[in-house]
Amino acid sequence: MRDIAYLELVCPAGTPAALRTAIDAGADTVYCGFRDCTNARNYPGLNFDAKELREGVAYAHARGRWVIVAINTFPRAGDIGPWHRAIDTAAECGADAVILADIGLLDYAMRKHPNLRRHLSVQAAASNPLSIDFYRETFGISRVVLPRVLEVDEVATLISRMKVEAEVFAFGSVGTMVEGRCTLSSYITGRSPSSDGVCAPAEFVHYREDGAFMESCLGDVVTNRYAKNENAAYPTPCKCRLVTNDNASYLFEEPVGLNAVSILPQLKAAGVTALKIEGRQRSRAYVGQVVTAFRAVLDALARGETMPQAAADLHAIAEGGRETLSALKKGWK
Amino acid sequence: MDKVAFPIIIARNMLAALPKPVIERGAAALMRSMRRHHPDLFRNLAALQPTRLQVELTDLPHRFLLSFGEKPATLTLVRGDAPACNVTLKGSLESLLALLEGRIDSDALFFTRDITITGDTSAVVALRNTLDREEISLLDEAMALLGPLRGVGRRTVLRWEGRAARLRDRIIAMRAPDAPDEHDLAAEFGSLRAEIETLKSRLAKQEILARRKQGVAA
Repeated sequence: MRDIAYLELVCPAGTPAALRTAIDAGADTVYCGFRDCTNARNYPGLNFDAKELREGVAYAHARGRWVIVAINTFPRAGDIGPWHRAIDTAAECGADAVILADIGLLDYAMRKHPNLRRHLSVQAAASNPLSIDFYRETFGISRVVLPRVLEVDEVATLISRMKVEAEVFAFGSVGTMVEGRCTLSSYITGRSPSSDGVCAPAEFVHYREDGAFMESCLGDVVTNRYAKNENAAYPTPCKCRLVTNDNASYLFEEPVGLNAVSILPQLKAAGVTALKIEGRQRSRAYVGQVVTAFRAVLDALARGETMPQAAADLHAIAEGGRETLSALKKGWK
Repeated sequence: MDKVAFPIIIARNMLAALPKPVIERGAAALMRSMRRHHPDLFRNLAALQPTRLQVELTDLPHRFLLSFGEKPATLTLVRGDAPACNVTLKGSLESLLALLEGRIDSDALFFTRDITITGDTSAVVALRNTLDREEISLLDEAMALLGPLRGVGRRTVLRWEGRAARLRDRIIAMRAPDAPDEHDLAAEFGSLRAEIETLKSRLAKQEILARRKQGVAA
């Protein structure tokens, strides 16, 4: 039985060094993925092989923590092998759970490894009680990662009507509002987060200087143009700046990072089990900084103290250098 | 031993003052030391796509060429015209060293435009992720070059870095209306300079000894 203070802190690791950093900084659970298209952060040089996962699991278990494996992309027709192998390898390495989105993979995991916990990925976009109940009854999921479209009140209502644990995003990049269904990147590059595990693949990204401006491009498409000293954003299509009626603006998503640290008591009261920190593609410096800050806050809240100031120091590593509560306090419908 | 950030003031001043051949030999020695202590890093670098990355320091008049993929990774000082490369990474010495040691988040530096990339972005992403797998201490690597004197060297360098940082802070404070006594500053600067000369001379001796040893080994 793990000793969870206040809320379970679920943290990202793109490398074994980041996993150790997350555990040492106080993560309760670390999630990671394999070096292929089976996970939604399939970037060059990132992720784990079987040996690294086995060592990471041993490191975490020796300290009473969990390692869970994201196998959260959707298999391509006629090419199921990598996804089945990923589930088998996660089980063999002693992972504590797998995070899955595809119903075929959920079915495979349930039949082949019935004792391996199954978490429903945010990529499944399950955001109502009927949907979540279907996954629980049919595939025996223990936890759902809720899409980033719900307000805190909606999260509370949903949790009161479902019989599995709820995990919500608390920090990191904010994606498009229909999780797991984004094909914007595919239109430009032919590759998508849903099947290839990459949004805006790095080999399609380039930057060029144009006088005092810097342009970011994805393939042949200019996704943004920054004035000198203006903060930059990820070159993803959902965060591109579009010109309409001669006015350049962010129509889909602003380049800001989610930070829900100020509403952790509300999330706890809503019945949330776990907080997810986004960012397996980020460095171990990011992991260390975010996990340390959240650990301090969670421990303080568990002791009944007020929130420590350390939590306020994260804006510098948030996307675009700005933070938001996003849909959790959206104020719009 | 605790991981300590590479002493940036000393590094910047030495890179500004040392002749190019010495910097070139230092870079090669550092790569040799890292290859010994981080074999996985070099194995992973060799597995990447062949890349020629030009590293352009924005606060020093130096450019380096880092080559990796297929062949063993090398770091050379660029002399003359820009070399043929797939990608250029620009940033201050402090930012780039912090990145190398995993002390700072590269995306955050990208958001604030403290580093810029032109060319093959995927090569830099792959390099960043490969470096981030390793826990590198440049100070430890540099001090390893001193052999048995590494402990003394480490303490000396960190003491000088501390003094240089205090001196820098005082110079910054001098711009304030209540500036300190200029004579004190001059004395401290003179003392620091003398110690740097001593360090240079010791390093030169170590280099000669190392070369002799290599000659004997060969």
